[in-house]
Amino acid sequence: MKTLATDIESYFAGVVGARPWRARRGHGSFLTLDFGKRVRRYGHFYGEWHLWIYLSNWVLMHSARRIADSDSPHHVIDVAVRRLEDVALSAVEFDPANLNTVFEFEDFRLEVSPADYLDNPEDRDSYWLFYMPKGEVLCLGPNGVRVSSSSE
Amino acid sequence: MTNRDENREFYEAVRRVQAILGRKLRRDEIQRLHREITDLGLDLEGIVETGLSMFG
Repeated sequence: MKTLATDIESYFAGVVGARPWRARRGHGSFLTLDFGKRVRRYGHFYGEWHLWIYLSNWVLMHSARRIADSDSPHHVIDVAVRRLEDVALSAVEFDPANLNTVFEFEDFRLEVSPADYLDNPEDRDSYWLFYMPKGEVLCLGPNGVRVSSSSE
Repeated sequence: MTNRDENREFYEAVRRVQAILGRKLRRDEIQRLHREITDLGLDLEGIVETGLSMFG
């Protein structure tokens, strides 16, 4: 069952103040950030809190300097994103008007906006997903932020 | 291939896996597929094959 999420910052309360123990580029320019206990599932380790920046455009800023974005070469993204392992998530800001999200990590800012390369995104498509303990997942899609079970 | 192309490739692979299986992949399954293929350098067909081997 899906629930419309209004105060999304509250869902991140469990990881605000924590450093991701892994911040990596996945396929293409997807990003994954793992927080909390390491949990082994299906042969891989995940954080009990797992943020996946999926169908998005994103920019990573360090203070006023743009150090990488979702169109950067892989080696640039790999090095820049790994720096987030040294800093704590300090705030999450969401703008429901344009579906933009900012994840602040001390003096770094990860600015995430919906992908502009999808022709007809579906309701089930997600710009980012935040997998939480107990099998819940917070997802931002074309119709806003929702909480559902990760098994949906 | 640009990052956008690679992103679309994964997205398209998920759609193809779903079409072949006749069901939507769950969000945890899409996450698992992404984790499984990360760093393998697979093309579209390779991702689809991996998805089918995982969930078919």
